[in-house]
Amino acid sequence: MHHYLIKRFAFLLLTILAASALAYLMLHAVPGETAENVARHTIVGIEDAVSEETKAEISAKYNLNDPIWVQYSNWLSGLIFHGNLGSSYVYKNTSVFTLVSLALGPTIILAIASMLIVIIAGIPLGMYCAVHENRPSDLIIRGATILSISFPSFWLALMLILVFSLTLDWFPVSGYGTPANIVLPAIALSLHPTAVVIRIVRTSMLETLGQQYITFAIAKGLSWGHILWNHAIKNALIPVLTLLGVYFGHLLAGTVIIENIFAWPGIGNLLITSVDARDIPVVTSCIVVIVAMFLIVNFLVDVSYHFIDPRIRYE
Amino acid sequence: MKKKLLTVCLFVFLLVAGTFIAGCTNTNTQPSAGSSAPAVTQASSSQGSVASGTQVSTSPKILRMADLSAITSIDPASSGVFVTEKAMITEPLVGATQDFILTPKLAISWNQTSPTTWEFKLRDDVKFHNGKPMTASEVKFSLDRTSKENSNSRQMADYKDSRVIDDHTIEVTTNTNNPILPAVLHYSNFGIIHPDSLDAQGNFTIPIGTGPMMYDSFDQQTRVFSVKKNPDYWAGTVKLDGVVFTSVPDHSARTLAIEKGDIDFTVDLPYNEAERIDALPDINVEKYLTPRVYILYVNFDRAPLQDVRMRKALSLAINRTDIVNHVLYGVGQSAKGFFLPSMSFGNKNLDELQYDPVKAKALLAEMGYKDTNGDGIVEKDGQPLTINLITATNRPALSPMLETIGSDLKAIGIQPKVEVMASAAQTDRVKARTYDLQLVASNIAMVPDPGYIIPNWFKSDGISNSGKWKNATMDAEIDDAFHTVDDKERLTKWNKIEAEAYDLLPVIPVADYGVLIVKKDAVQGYKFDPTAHDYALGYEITITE
Repeated sequence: MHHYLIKRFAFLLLTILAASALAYLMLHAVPGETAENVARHTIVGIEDAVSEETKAEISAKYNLNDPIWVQYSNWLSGLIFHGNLGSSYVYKNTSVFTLVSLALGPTIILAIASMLIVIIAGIPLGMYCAVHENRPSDLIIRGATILSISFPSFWLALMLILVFSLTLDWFPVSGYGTPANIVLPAIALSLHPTAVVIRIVRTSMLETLGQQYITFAIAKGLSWGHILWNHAIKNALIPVLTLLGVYFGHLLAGTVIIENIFAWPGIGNLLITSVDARDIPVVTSCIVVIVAMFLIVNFLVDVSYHFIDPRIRYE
Repeated sequence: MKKKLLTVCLFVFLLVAGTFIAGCTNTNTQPSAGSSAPAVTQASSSQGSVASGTQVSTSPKILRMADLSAITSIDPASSGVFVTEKAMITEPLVGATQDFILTPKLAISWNQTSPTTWEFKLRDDVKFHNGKPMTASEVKFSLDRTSKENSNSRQMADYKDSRVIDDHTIEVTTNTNNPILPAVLHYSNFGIIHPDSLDAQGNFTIPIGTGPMMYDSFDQQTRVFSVKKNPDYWAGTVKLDGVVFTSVPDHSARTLAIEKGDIDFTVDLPYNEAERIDALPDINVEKYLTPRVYILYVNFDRAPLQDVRMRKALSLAINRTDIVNHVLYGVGQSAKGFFLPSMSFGNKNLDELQYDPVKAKALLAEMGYKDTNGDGIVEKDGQPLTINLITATNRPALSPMLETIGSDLKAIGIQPKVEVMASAAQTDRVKARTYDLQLVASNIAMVPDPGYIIPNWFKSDGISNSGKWKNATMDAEIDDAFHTVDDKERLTKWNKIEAEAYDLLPVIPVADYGVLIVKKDAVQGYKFDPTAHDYALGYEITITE
């Protein structure tokens, strides 16, 4: 287990290193000059022309004339030796660490809230559908999942606002800070994964319920509830757990559209604004944090397999 | 057992670390009373809420305002458009009327004492928000700082230095003769601040200005910014107790927020929603023109576009009325000259650009373009006439407007190639010179003087002359007009150049830009300021219960 942990940790560091280097390279490869973009987001308007003098000043201020590898190694050495993610080109007088950490909290809160909805609604409904295979209730739930998967999340978000905010006046339209603010974005984000989880749990449960050991358990006279919760669910959950891990990772990476609609100050919003303004230290730092969170969540999912199925071991 | 413990520890660590990082940073800066240095306090959990807004709605006369983009800076040297025009914290030396005529603001008068020096007399009854009087020293500090921090502002002003003559007189020196200096000092980035706005290390902390509103708080997490009433405002009684600025980038969500009553004032809802929202009982929608025009930049590397007849044919092909009615939904108007009708310095003798596809076809035929193979596209020397039109996605009307222009060109036999891209990609295309026409929404009065945009557009080395228009006569005329000191004579020269450009069409105007001001009926006393970048709030605005 210790070897496994060390190996995974080394892999995490390598992936972060590769992701940050790739972010630097890609930001320099996309169209547009960094100094010009920064000027348009800080000094002149988006459409306004930027003089050579202004571009030269910005380039000199942020060392943008240095070769990419020099810029990258400066950023990396700041991170490794001083724990410093650098300064934003756009957000004045704010360190990148402050910006990223402020955006991380809302993202984690929203991701956890959405995952709770997915788990609480998705797993029981999936089991219910499996147990009531092809009955009207199963068909209705499966139909609803198809609809939920088919509609784009931004449309669902606007519909939720229209119904629960504008018509019923239960929740605010957008914003951050009170418990009421989280309800609609969490629901909007969870609808699609909940539908997928329902379908996966249903399929997985049906497969498990067809196994000989379940038939044996029934023959032994065990109660249906006991069979479901103690024998079937554990075996059916492995593929679901993998899926939940991937979804949770995605949610932690920020969800630009939902954050935009609900004015949620998460990492997706910060990332897209920074990409637009070519705020390289912020973009790279956001990517490093997102990659790290994704890998940690997947690692935790991998470890959890062992507790659901003790036959799975890590050496 | 050890493995279980390890896993649980890891999971708890992830949650705690995230929550800790999120919570450990103070997000809200508030100045302590009577002190210039900001006191950092823990963020109020509810302050970031745009919509819950129950705290602000119970306070008397607090305007809840939602804008499109988040506030990235509260330093007027770089974000004057927000700090000066919207937040009303700082003010420039020079004001402007609705007709774009310069008026006194923090300066009561000014005159050019030599080709490179200007003397500004300052008001003697103005106090900063920290209670200290405004003198020439603070004005010098602000001008020096903006010129140092913002190279664009420095270049527009051609600022060299300034000298305090007495408490209420300052002399500004420019590098060359710059007759538009007072107009440049109207620009919001030249808002005057007190030196206490900076900390001991010289870092900007909070804006301490002279305007009707004072800094209250800024939540760095939610980017919610609050200002409160300046009880000692020099120009009159401020009617609002405060304003809370939030950002809701999504247009539809912003529409729903004002419908629900979560906000009181916003701008630029989807144009096609204007009529429906205006019909709601407690909301009104007002349409205004802003100093911005939708305009086509012409690439003069392309041989067909070097012929003025081609540029005229393109202009004649554009159905501007249709564009205003069906793309802009009436938020804007057909271009008549390069400036807005309200701008006192625009040439008032110019007619609206015509829509005449028959005449456009005749001009193409005169140039030798004819449809020889009957496919509806004109050719010359066997080559079909193709025009590559590009634009960016940064303003909602640009893409549909370009599509409409493309179909207008097709109607006169030109094959359009329409491309919509990110603004950075558009900049690259312009640099690579791989386009024919570029549609932009260009600001025409960042400085309320024709000496700002005419040289930028029409001089061969003009900063906005991306199409590389070259006309030696016009260059000489622009130089002459720019350096003419007499205001009346200078204006006559600018009007002449504007008329010449209108005839030669180095750029093709399409429509004047409009803005939608959407506010609850409870918001009273709002006066639109057409000289503002997009819109500005004023000290007479108020809100009833």
